[in-house]
Amino acid sequence: MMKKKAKRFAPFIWIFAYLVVIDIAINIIFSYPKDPRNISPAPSRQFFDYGRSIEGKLSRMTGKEIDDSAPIASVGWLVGSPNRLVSKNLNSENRPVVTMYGMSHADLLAEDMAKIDNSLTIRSVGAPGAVPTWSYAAYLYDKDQYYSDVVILGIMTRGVPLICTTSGATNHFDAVYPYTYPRFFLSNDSLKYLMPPFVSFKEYIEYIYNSEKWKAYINWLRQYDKFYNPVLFRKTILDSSSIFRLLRRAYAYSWQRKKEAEVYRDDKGFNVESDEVKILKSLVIEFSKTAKRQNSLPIIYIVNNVFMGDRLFKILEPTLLSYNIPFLSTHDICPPNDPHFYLPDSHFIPSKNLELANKMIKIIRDKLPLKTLLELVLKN
Amino acid sequence: MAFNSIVFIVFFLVVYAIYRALPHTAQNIFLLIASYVFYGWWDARFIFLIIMATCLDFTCSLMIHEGSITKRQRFTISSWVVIGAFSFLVVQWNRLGHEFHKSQSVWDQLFSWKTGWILFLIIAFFTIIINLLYTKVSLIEMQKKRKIFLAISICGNLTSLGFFKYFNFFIDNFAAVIRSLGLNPTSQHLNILLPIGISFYTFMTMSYTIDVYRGRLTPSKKLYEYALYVAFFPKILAGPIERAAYFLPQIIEKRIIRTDQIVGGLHQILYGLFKKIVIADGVAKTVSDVFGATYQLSWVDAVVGTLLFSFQIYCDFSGYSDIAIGAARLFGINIMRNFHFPYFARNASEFWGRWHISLSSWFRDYVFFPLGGPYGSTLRWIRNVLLTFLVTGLWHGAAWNYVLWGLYHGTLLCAHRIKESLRIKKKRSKNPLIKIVNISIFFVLISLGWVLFRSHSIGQIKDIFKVLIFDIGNLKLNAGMPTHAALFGLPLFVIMEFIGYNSDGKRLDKVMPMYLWTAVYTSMIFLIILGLANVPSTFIYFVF
Repeated sequence: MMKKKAKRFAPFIWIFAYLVVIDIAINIIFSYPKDPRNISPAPSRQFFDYGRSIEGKLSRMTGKEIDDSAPIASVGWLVGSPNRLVSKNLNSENRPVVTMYGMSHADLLAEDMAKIDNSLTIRSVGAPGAVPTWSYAAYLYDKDQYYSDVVILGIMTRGVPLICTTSGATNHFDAVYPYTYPRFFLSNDSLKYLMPPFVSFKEYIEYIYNSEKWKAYINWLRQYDKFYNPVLFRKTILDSSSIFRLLRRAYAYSWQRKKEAEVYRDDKGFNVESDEVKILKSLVIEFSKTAKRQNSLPIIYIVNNVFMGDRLFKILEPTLLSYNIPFLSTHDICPPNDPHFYLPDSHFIPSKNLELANKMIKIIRDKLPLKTLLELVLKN
Repeated sequence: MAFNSIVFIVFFLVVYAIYRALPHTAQNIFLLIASYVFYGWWDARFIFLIIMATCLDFTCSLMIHEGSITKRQRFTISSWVVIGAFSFLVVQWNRLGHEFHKSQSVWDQLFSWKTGWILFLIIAFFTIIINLLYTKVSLIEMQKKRKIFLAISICGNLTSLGFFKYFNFFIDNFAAVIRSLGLNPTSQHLNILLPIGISFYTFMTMSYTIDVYRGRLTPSKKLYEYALYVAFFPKILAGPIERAAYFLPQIIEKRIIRTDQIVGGLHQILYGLFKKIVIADGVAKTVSDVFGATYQLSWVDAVVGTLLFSFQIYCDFSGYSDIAIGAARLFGINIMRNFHFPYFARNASEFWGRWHISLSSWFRDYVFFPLGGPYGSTLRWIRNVLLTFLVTGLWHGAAWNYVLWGLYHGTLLCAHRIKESLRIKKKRSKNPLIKIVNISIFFVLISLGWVLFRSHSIGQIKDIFKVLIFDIGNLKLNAGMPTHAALFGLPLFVIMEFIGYNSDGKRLDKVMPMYLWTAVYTSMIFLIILGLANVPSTFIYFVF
């Protein structure tokens, strides 16, 4: 009888044993490098590590000092980030200054603009995968530090569903960035924001190495970050299992897709009733008003991601036209339904990026106030 | 609630646990309720459509077989229709998932659809009228009555299917014809929502009445048993199109669930999930890139897209069937096999004996044979074959590419039959090399047929064939690569199919030592876990 029962369970034992062997083998063969400064582990090593908890990833990439940390841990901070104010061409500060706020697409555009026209001083304030709220927050902080004649806000389709997040750690599960940004919300139709507990790398170190403070931060995320999920965020012993990591990644994908679908769906486009779309529109208006008050020319750079159509442009167009806000939307030059214009990492191919940069410069020349243009001519 | 979702897993486990604890009759009633919940998960309104189809064919079958319906049966049928109309037309269940308007109460909004109330009143009124007319109808002469009720059943089913599935196709094409005559018709295109699985359950209900008419089946006396045959949740959305003669006895008789049945069911579910999650979902993006491309395809794009779609559609549909059959076996119910290694077929005749068997046998029994079957002159059976395949194509969808696909297969079958009839030596060669060559050639032909099936328009079909024929050698792949899971899974899948084909579909544990088959299953489990991160796509056949 006992033998018969044991025989019945034998296949399960075999399968379990095989799974354990696979798990251990992956952990040995594809072990992730321990040195946080190793920025390019083999893709296979990265692949089996994507499912590690956010806390697990953060603690691995963060040392007690900036030099002991992974380079990505220190990028994108609103305050004191070493990558802030990366000037592309500051050889003459008297020339009109153009500052770009946004994600890598915006940064690449700034680079090409600097290549094309050296009569402009171009700055880029960016963060990897920056969402529109990060870009706007970066502008709000930067405008008081540095005057720009032209301010460009980069917004991309993929970033809109992430507007109610507050950190690069919660909005991109595979590759996390610890930088933070405020949580924007609408109160009586006016745009308000709540600052996260820390906004610089230095403060972040204080938090992550202090369990009480970190707990308080997690509580803050739980309250205000729409993409906070304890299953994805909290570090557990299961982080050591490669199979569990794969399962967590699968869960993360389906969970995030579901969250994003509340705002954007491939078949239906944007949900115009969502908080995110309302905040985005309000943010664009506020950005324009603030910039104009500062005597800066505001421009919106609309990046329509591949296979997402010109939907972002479509939802912003009425606002941009009614508030007379200059803009450049990529859909005319790089039709989103043609992947030929896009690189595998979602950026535009160099020739098209250059074309976009040219067009942006033309917009700046056309829209820059006459007074600024005259100053430029006289100084040059 | 797709089979590859967490919601379904939870649903299934809860239903199964309760099911095992219930006595036989309660099991059937509970399975029926669970099936309606499962179906209503998409859109509760369509449950009423199933109830109507069920009641119509239950009534017709009894009238055909018995010539009368008892008072109790009439009361039961009428109650189902009226309660069904109230529950699924008046009550707006689909609003539960949405945010309610704050100004209105929950009850106001659940019952606020005026058209629902009007429809309910009309249905209730006609139910009373039909009951009043019953006495007169029952007096009609038996032979006449049999024919009338067969006609009512077929017309009712085809009207429902025709309205939901083909109305726009015919109206749009009619308008196009009128436009070509220089006239300007006003558009009558309606935004009709296609009830999921309608083609499958309509064919089941139709075959039931026809079989009763032909005297091949004694109709069920209990409405809930017949309703369970129609709505049984593992098969309602995409088949197999089960025959009542095989299914109903399993509902009526007490079921004994054997260990072997459970083990077999689990094996089949695992293999089905592997096919769906690892292969079908894993190659889906590459296929979409090719067939949704707005840029110029290269030859390698067209070849890769075509071949991968052959794998995708097979793994998607047979994966669904495997999960359905496996899940049913866990309940102690055996469902007919729907696929039997179709890509090992050497000709069209063999292919249709292996591909979507429940549909091809349905068309054989209810379309091909009534048309005259393979008898009569060559021209006559060619006509019968082409007509049958034309309808088969149309069954898949109201579009010209499906019509072309059906005719393509009809032509392949006719060509094969003509070739066979011309052969002097009737014995098939046993040379394995010739067998491999034949299988490969026919696989290419089948894959080319899938281009017709998958394309959005006749223009796209032309474009892809142009690239396939005139752009040979252009090896620049523009489409994205399949996922890691699919790349590792495809060789394993091919090996599994090969083993299955050679052992005539025997389970791996029957043909391999335990350490080996458990290793294969572990690989499948691992690849499923790997593939879970894929963007899950809905089963292709849900839209048919």
